[in-house]
Amino acid sequence: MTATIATEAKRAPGPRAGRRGPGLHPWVRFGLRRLGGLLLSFAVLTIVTFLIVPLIPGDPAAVAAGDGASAAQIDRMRQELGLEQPLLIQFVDYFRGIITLDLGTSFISGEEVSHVIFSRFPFTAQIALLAIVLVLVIAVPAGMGVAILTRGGRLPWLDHGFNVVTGFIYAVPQYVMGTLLVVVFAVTLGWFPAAGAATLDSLVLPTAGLMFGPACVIARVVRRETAVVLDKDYVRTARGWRLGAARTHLRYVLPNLITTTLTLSGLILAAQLGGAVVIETVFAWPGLGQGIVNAILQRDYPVIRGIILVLGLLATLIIILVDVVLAVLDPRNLGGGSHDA
Amino acid sequence: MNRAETRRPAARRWATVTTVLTTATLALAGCTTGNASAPEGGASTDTINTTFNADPTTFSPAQGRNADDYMAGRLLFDTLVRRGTDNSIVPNLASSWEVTPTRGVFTIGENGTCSDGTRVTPTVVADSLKNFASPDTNSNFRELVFGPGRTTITADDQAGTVTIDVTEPWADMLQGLSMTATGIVCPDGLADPEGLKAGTAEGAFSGPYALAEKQSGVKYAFKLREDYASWPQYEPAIAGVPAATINASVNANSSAVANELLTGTRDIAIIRGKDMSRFDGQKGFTAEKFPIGSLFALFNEREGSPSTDADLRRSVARVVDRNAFVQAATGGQGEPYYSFAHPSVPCAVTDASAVLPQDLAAAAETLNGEKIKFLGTQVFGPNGAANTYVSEAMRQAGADVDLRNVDLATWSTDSQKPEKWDMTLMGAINAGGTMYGALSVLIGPSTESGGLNWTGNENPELEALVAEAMAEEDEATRCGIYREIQKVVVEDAHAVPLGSLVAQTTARDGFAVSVFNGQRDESTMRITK
Repeated sequence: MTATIATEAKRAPGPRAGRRGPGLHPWVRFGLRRLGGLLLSFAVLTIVTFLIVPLIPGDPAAVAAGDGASAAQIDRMRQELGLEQPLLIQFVDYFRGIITLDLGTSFISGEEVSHVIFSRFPFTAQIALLAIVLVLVIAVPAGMGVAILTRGGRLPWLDHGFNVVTGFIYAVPQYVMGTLLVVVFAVTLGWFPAAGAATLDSLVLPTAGLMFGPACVIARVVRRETAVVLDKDYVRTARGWRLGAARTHLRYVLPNLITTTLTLSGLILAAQLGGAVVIETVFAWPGLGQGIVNAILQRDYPVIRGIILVLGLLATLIIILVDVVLAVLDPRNLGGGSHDA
Repeated sequence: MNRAETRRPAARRWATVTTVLTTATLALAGCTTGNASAPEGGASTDTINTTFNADPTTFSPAQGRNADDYMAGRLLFDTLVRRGTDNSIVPNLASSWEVTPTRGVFTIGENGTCSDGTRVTPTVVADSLKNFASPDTNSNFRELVFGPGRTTITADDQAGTVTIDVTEPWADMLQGLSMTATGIVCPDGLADPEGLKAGTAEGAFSGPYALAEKQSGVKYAFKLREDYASWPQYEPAIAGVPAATINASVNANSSAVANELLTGTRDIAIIRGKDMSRFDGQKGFTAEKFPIGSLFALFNEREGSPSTDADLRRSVARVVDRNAFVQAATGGQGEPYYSFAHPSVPCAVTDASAVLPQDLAAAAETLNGEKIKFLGTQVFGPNGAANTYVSEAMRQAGADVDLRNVDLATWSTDSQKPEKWDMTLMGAINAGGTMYGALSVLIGPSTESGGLNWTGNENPELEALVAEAMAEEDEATRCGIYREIQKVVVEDAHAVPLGSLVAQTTARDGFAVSVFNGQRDESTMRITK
């Protein structure tokens, strides 16, 4: 009987054992799950980028052969680019290249795709990272502040104004926002360069154009989350202990916003890395967004595939990184909660 | 992690996250952007800041394919001769020449040097031109320069001459040798074709500048060669001093380029489309419009297409109001054309004497109910407004037009498939500025036979006239033949001339660049005060 009870106790699920199984350290399980997700993303991206790109209408050989090329010259170009080979052989070459970190060469310039990506990526990364930093620095305090000030129905005009302003700014399309920034701060006031990436102050306007929308989203989410947290019993208790407003908000409210804010920020950062096309075009910012647009217009298959692959993997890595940060901050996230892939 | 750790002050966590992100951003910024302020221009600078529309696809002049390749080629490579004002030919590497339709003898000047110090001798010149003419080089311009026949190029270093013989008379040879594609590549470049294409063959350059920096998608820097002395002998001489450095950023967005000019970040740039008007009457800038191409309707005259009917083609010509077309295609910035060749091409017809007048009623008699596949590209006017205008004018005359407004790459592809189109709008760039360059899409072997003739109609009558012109030594007589050719083409509506495609070279005060015969020569960029 004693033995039976002991066995049952062993089998009985603890608070976490049911989902995790015995044997492996939670961090190892966490790492394996994320690695599996990464490999799956890689496989899907590799296959999809290879298959989808040739569906874009237009012959890359005709574009690469240039103005005034005859059909014979275009045919010759097609052979040089390897487009005459069966799709399967092209895929094998493509896959072999990827696993040996060789993304091929541009159809148009003959430059290595990895070089094209490495020369453009830092430009995209710097405005995306700077924008997300500014978003966090501005939006979190702003959202919290409004929630605190309007708690319990106080200052309704502030609540209403906050919603209207953030909603309006978020609704302004990026190209309109970008153009406004150029007209006001570059052309009219002359404070910052209108385009290009020649100087450090060139960062200001593209970053601003990129951050306004996400800042509004996060500010609204933080405001809402803060309002919910402020109604929790433990916050009331903290107030009852007369801990002081700053201490209460920083110690008991802010930590509860981290999960939502970081998750959202990770998604926004991933989207900005791949989707800064509009801002990069308005400001002639030489990032990956412009690179992929040019490559699509020129039917430069290797560059299109390379950039999509890298951006896809980066997005996956950013999401994994956010999960890791959240797990470090709160180990309950290790167990495959809402952020598990 | 224990509870104490999870209770770490949230402010510290946030500070950690933002510090890491900020550090990463600043590190990236340090790697990419500089910290120099924008140049003020004027006397204090020895640098010209300009733009490329896109990355040059190659630095091999013979294989250049687009305007940015030609621009880089002009800075990096000299040619034997250059085109000056009023279609004059001026010396560059060749100090003098004697040219007939079948032979050219060029005396090579003493001043030419390569970027590695090698002297530009007749042998260097001949080797470069042989490379250009070789089928292995696959230059799109070989025939425009030397014609369809066999070419023999010989050097005589003692006499200081290069002799070019062609088996079929080709009166365009001299003008052709002013084209960027014939830029003289020095031995270091010929020995390293890949390096030449990539711009890394440091001794390849014969022109005033050498490529000093290349950052794909971002910028290119060209440094003036200290030992360069073979400047083209333009008459009158070009005012100002060449820049020690030319920085060309890559910027395809004309609005952004205009903003950069207006805010002083760029000194000289080409502006396209509606942004050209931003410089109308703008103080502190000089702006000059120049044709980058001529727009004309072109027909598929292969069997099975309704466009084989000359009356149908003429009817299309009769529906068009050229002023309305120019408005649609260029927002009124261009001008109506009356020949498929732009007015700066020697012997081009510039009056309306040969074109068919607008007559919708007459056009309707032929066009009514005709099904016509119209393949258009979106680059002419906003979203291909030029195509839309022509197709609507044809519909007004009763034609059943199936217009496909596609992007340039799709147009390039589908235009090679005769079954996909009956007519199209062609924006002929004619980089060589020759009459044959303009005619090449209308005569000779069809595209499917390896030629350049889009119409598919070999037009033997026109070919015979071209052969006659190419063999004619007297320029006035040759021009007479070319005018006859243009008359036939327009009257039979093998092509319907419509208007110009224009761009605007714009320079801030203190900077200048010359446009000769409708072609901008980037090597003439100067600092003028």
